[in-house]
This record gives sequence, structure tokens and C-alpha cells, in this order.
Amino acid sequence: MSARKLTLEIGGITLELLAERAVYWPARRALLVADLHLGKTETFRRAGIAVPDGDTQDTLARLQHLIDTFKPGELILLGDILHARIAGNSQLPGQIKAWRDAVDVPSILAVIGNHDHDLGRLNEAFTILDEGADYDGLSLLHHPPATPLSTPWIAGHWHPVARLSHGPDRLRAPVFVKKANHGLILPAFGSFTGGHPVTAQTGDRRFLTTGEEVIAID
Amino acid sequence: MKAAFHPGLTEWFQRQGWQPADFQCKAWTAYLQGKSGLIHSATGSGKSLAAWGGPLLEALQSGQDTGLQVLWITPLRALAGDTVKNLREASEGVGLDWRVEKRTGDTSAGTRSRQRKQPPQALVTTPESLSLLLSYANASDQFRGLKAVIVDEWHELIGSKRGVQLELCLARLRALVPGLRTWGLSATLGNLNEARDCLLGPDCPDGCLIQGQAARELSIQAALPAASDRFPWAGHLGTHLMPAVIEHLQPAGSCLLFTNTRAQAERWFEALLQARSDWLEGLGLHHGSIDRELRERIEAGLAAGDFRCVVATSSLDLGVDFSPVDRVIQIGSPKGVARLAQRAGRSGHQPDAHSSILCIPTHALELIEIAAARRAWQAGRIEARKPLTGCLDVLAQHLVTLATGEGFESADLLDEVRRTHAYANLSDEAWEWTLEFITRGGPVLQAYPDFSRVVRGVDGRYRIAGRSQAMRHRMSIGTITSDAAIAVRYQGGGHIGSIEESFIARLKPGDVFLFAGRSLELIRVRDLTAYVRRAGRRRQAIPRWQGGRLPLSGTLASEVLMLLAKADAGQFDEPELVAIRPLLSLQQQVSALPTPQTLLIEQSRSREGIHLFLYPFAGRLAHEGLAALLAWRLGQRQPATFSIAVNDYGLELLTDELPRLDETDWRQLLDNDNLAADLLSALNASELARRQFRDIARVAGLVFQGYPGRGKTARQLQASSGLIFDTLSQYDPDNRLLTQAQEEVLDSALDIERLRETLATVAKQQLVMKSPQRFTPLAFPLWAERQRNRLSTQSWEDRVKRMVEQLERAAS
Repeated sequence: MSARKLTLEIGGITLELLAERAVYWPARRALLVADLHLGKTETFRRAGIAVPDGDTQDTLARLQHLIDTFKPGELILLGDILHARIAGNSQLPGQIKAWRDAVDVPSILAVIGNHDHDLGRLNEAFTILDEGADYDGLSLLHHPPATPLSTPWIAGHWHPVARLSHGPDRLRAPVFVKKANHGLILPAFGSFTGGHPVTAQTGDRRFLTTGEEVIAID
Repeated sequence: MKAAFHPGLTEWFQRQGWQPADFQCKAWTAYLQGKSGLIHSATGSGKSLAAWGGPLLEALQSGQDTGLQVLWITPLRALAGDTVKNLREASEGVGLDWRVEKRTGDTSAGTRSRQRKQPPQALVTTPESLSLLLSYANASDQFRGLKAVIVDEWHELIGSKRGVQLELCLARLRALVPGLRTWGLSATLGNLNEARDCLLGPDCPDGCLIQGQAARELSIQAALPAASDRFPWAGHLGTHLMPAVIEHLQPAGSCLLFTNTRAQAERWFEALLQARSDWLEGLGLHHGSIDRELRERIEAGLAAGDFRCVVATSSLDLGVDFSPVDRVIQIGSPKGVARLAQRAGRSGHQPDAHSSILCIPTHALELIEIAAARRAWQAGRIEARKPLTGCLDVLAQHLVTLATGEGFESADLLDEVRRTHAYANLSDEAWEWTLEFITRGGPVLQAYPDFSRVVRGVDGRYRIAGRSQAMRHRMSIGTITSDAAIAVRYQGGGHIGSIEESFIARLKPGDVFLFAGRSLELIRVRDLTAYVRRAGRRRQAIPRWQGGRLPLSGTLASEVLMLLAKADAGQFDEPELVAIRPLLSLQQQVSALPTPQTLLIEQSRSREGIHLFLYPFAGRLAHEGLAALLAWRLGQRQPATFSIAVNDYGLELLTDELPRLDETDWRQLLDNDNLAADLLSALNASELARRQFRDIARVAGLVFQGYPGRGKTARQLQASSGLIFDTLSQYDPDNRLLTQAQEEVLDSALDIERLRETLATVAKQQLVMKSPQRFTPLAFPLWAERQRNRLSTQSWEDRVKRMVEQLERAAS
């Protein structure tokens, strides 16, 4: 089965997995994404590593496009919104604020991730939540929990990708991972992010996105 | 003719019971006349003294010798200790009160600072450490009094990026010290003149080439399987010949057992232990990933005669006066004539003793390679090693190094850089690009905001931007050689060695792997360190190190083809060929034997799909290019995805569906027209350039590996070279490092010139097309090859769908 989006139930909550590496929750009109890593190439360049710019703009533009399409009441960022500490003369906060003013979404919630030391500087743009905040019965996390939770949960952090093969052919693509204990892990949304291969544990299901379609592979 | 040399040296020779050899006298005289040159001679013939004697004589005569006099460059830091010992023996022997010290990545900070304040007369160092010395602000003071640089084992460096790095450092030293002499030591190469010119640079037209002692007699034998044994066709460890090895190890004396890869060394060490647990004390394992102290213990033990057998990789290939052993065994294909001769040269160092080596074939076709190596050696056909040119990644690294040190001015440095063989033809544009790359990140100002690495001051001098950039750059200078390495430590402390990150990444805590001859269980990985404990369990993974694969030299490949042609004509005059006659007959029967006049093409079908096998015998690199070219051209007829395997004999293309191809089709597919354009398209459709970029990204400082214990800051700067490749391709497609990746693949990796020649040869050859039912003996090793490249002309979506369909079929 495959489609531009794929409907899935997590502990009684119906979610749509989008080919754009995001999740939409129709009942709450909420759009969820994880691991933007904004400012990542800037951090590289400041350290003298010559990686061209464009990732932050690209990430924000793709997010804006999703907002325009779904017109959500709320956008939820599941941690690692920033890649590193924000340098004193960085354009990044201004860039993010300008983007925030331009997008048409009533509220943006941001869960603090392990990279988000300076997220506090963006509290005008985002409502900052601690990890594990309850959102209408769904726990909003950055780190997937080490021990089972009693509530349904959604998280990021892993940057999950799957490896596929067919005869001589091999590919890698980002995946959503549905964990057996009513949890869901999102692929990284940021443009300049790598991936970590995940294999499905017993009871897990992975949903691959080609960018055009979401396809169940387990 | 023996000129009169200072008695200090001649009397020391006498006390040792030696006579200066002619080539030594020649080298000393030339040195004293202020000349530079290259000395090539057989292993263990006194090459080091030929080079070292000149500076000693000069110091004895002039009596002026304070400050750093001689830099001695060695390719392996493992060799530095021995070299220091030998050089010191000689300097003390001739009566000079010289300090001879080493300076490598292992040298402590205290020693380094003392060496800066009170430099020794001679410093033994590696190309990386020399580069590092140039990254300090007092470099010109350090080297002001330098008389000579001596480059040991130059044949190991030439042809690699480390060699290019050294060329740049030498140009810097020559600019600092006019009249500096450069001497190189090399084993026999097919292109000695070029090797000399490359080392001395284009400004030194009258460099000497001094031929030392000719190679000793060399006996190359193969362990032949018993007539009744079925010989494995491919990819085997060769441990089935263990009895022959054990027998060879029985007599008293020491033995070196060489393998081609570190993984193979681990396995053989393990297998020997299992076969003869009573030899436990007398067995050692030595390879480049093992901790230095452990390696030094093995080396000392070998010198003292404590070991019956040490299993080693190329980590023990080198070392001019390294302790000789009684016997040498080579596991697997020798890969090259020069290399085999060098390994054999580890045995029988007494001047009159001849060297011998026992080769253990790991699969049938290696028997032919062994016979081919012997024939090539007897005929004096030795490989050439081509120096690299125009590598902008190494140049960028060097510029940042100098910016970190005393800084530089553009015009002066360009002039200096062009005085190297590697950059003699560097264009102004490439130079400007490299300057922009290190100062602005790239030519498109817009694409690289906030970039900060090197800055041009108001005085026009280029200097490093800040302390953290300087620190990171110094840490990464050594990375020309190494892949991202993870330190391996015991949980309770104790460093065992280092291992490629890609291997550790595939393991889960609790998994057991074999490393440094021990069975280890992974506990966890943190801060680029893998913590392990001893494991008793048997099931183990063996690390597969990158870069462990050596291509068979062209010299050897064509010798093999000639032997096959003889076999085709029914001539079996080498014992190795007699041993695999049944196999060759089978090949002849179900298909055909390749010869210089024919190109054999086999097409077979299996459950995996359609297999095409071609055997041009043009070497792994040209085959890689030819395979990509054929896959691309076939894919133009009908979108398809190919899996490509190559070895030194031929290539395999595997795909789902393929119409039957006749001679007209093949002639079109193998046509020389449009070669460059098609190959470039093939390159973009395959993973080759992306793979080549890994190296370039590392050298140019685009991939920062981080260091054990550095924690978060380092991790925030980590991105895979693949991700950077994609980002550059998207936002800065004209980036010259991308172009360099393509060129490196075309020129050296794919060897486009060789490919052109190959296609020209093929055009004259008769095509022999066969459709065997099963894989033939020649096809089998290709089919079993695990390292594969892919090329696709299908859309990504289609490929994913096909994979998913297969998953669904498997599930239902």
C-alpha cells in the first residue's frame, strides 16, 4: 500500500503520515515535524568547513508549503529545532522570526531537544514545551522513551532511515517508525541532516517515504 | 674508485668489519658536492648509510653542526623508532655528538616543546608531522640551518596524496633554505627517473640517480594443493593449505607471514593458534590498527628472535634495516612484482644469502598470478608508480597549514607551489579558486555566508581566522591517511587499537568481534571510543578495513593473460599451471580461455537475473570504467539498474532483464566514440564520484572527524561526505572539489587512458561469445565479489516500488 499520505492509528489517535516527512493530526488540526537542525551549515562555515548555505531557507520553505497546504491550527516541532548555539552576529534568529511572522499558523509549539540550548532566544516565535508535555492524550517527545509509556507518544531524534534492496539494487530512504508500544518516531525534516539506519524490532512497523509517496515496508 | 673520506667514517666502517660499497661512496661524494638525488637499491644493502653518510661526513669536515641539520622523512611512524636507533649508532660511531630524535604523532608535548627550543641535529619524522611543524609560527627559524632532507621509502609515498603533501612541504623548505639538498631512498620501480624528478622538483635538472646493489636472487614458490584436493574458486582464506604452512614453520628460526588485508591477518592468526596452541608464545600479530605499544613489543620480540611466526600486513613491509627473518610466507595474490620482491627481501639479509618466499594461494586463479609474478621478476618487468598531479584538496590543506603557521603571500606561494612536480602546471584559475575556497568557502559569495577559516589581512598576508580553526586544522593534518577511526579500549582501561567507524556502526552492544587477535565483546560506543571486554564466545565478526584492497598491477595482469594463452595452446610449463590444469580445462570446455587475441564474453542466467561477464584483463581500474560505460550504454537502450563487480581479470554486470546481444550490439557497446562523454554520464549515474569524494572531503577539511573525548563540539560538526556531496551538487555545482572527484575517478580510479587503449585493443580482438549454463571458473570470483557498485537509469520511485513489491511477495 502506498499513497501521498497514509493513515495510521497510535493508541487510539488517528494520524496521517505525509510523504513530506511530517505528520498531520486531522482531529486536532495539528502538523508535527521533528529535527529541523536550523543553522546547521552556518555552524559548519563558522568553524571553517566550507559547506554552502541554503539548508535553513529550504527547510523553512518546505515547512511553509505544508502550512499553506494543511492550514493547521498548530505546528508542533519535536526537538532539535536548532543545530547548535546561536553565534552573536548570526542572521538565524532574524530569519526565523521573519519566517514566523510570514506563516499563517496560530501557534507553534516547540519541544526542547538535545541540540536546543539557545531555543529560549526564540520564545517570541515559539511556545516552548518541556519534553513529555501532554497534548490531548499524546506525549510530545524528542527522545524516544527507553522504557514503555502508558500514553501514546510521538518523537524524533533518531533520524531513522531504512535500507532496501532488490536483486542488484540498493537504496536508503527516510522512514517513520511505529513502535509496538503505541509510539511513533518521525524522520528528520531538516534539509541538511543525515540518517541512521533502523531495523524493525518485533511488533514495529516502518513506513518509508520517497518524497512523493509513503509506503509500508514491514 | 674510492675517494678519501674523513677517517671518522672509514674507521667506523672498519671497526664494524664493513667496506663502503661503491654506491655508498658515490652518494657521499655527490652529497659533499652539494647535489641531490635518488638512491635505489635492494632491501638491506646499506641504503640508509648511503644517504646518512653524506651529512655525517660534512659535519666531521666542517665541525659546524649546531641546530637542526637533517630531516629524515619516513612513511610509517612505526618505523621511526628503528630509524632513530640506526642513525644514532652511525653518528656516534663516526664520533659525532649528535642528538637524533623522532617527532611523530606519538611524541609527547613536553618533548615537542624541548625540540622546538633546543632542536636536535637530526629529526626523524613523517610527512604529516613535517606538515604540522610548518603550521607553527617559528617554522622558518626551526629550519634555517637545515642542510638536507632525506626521504626514506619514497616508493611508498610516490603515487599517493601523502607524496603530494610531502612535495609541497619540500618546496616550502627549499624556499626557506636555498641550496637545501634532497635525497630519496627507493626500492626498485619501473619509473625511477620520474620518481627522482618528482622528489627533487622541476628546479633540479641535474639530480643523481644512484643504483645500489642489484637485487639478490629471489625464489618465488607456491604451495601446491595435493592433486586430489578440489581447489576453491574464489574468495577464500587459504587456510585449507594450513598443513603446508605449519610444515614451513616447523624448523627453528623466525618467519613473517604476510597477508594482504588486516582482516585476513586476524583470521590467519586465529587459525594458526587453533592449529598449534602449543605455539601460543611464539605467535604474534602486527597490523596498522593495533596499538603502537603492542606493535613495538612484537617488533622487539621479532628482532630478539622470540617469535616463531609473526602474522603481518604491509605494516611490516617497510623498514630498511628491519630485523631479517629466516622465512617469509605470502598469503594470497602477491598483487605486484615489486611488492612481492620487497616482502621476500625480508628474509636472508646476509649479503650472499638469497631471498625466498612461499606463496599460499587462497583460490585457484592466484596460482596463475604466482607463476606470473615469478616470470615477470625473472624478465625484470617491475611496476611503475605514477605520481599524482593537481590535487586541489591537498593544496587547500597545505595553504591552511601555512596560514596557520607564518602566513603567506599569494604570488610568492604560487611561485613556490609551481616548483613541485604535482603543481608545475597549476592554472591561475585553479589557484584563485583554492584561495577563495579557504577564505570564503567557495566562489559564490552568496552561498557561503559567515564562513571563517583563513583571512587575508590588510598587509595582504593570509592567516588562519582564529584559534579554534587552527586547533581543528592541526588535528586534521594527519587525516590524509586515515578514515574516521574509533579507538578500541577495555572497559577497565587499556588501549587496544583503532578501527574504522563504519565497522563499529554495524555492531550492537553484546556483539563479539575479532580484533588484535582477541575475541572482544562490544559494550558501548561513546565519544569515538568503543569500550569492550574479553569474550569467550566463538561467533565473531571480523572488521573489514577500508582501503585493504590492492589492484593487481598491469604488469602482472598481462603476464597472467600470456600464461592463459599458453594454457589454451596446451603448454603447461609452470608447476602452478599444471596444478590447476583441470580447472583451466573445465573453463575451456564449458566456455573458452581468454587470450591476447580474443575477448571472452559470457552471458548466464541465475535466480538473481542476467549476468554478463567480460574478461579484458586490463586491471581493476579500467574494468570499473568499462563496466560503468557498458551499463550506461545498455541503460540507454532501455532503463535498467545494474550491479557491477570487477576484478583484475574482468567485470560482471548483473541486471533483471536483458535482450540477447549479438556481435553488432557488442561492437556498438564497446565503441571508442563518445567515450569521455558517455563515461561522464555513467559517472553521474553511478556512485563512483560520490565515493571518491569521501577522500577529497576529508583532505580538504570538509569532513571533520572529531576526536576521542572532544564530545559535543566535535559532534555538531559531523556530517557524512555523502551529505556534503549532495549539498555541494545542489548549491555549488561548479565547486572544483566536485570536479576533482570526477577527474580523479576518470583519470586514476577509472583510468580513462587505459580504458581507451583497452577499447582500441578490443576493436582488433575477436569476440568469443558464450552462454554457459553455470558460472565458469573465471566468472565465479566475480560473482562472489562483495564490493559492488551500482548504476541506474531508472527513476528512484520505480526502484523503490520494485523493492517493495518484492517485500510484499516475500511476505504473502
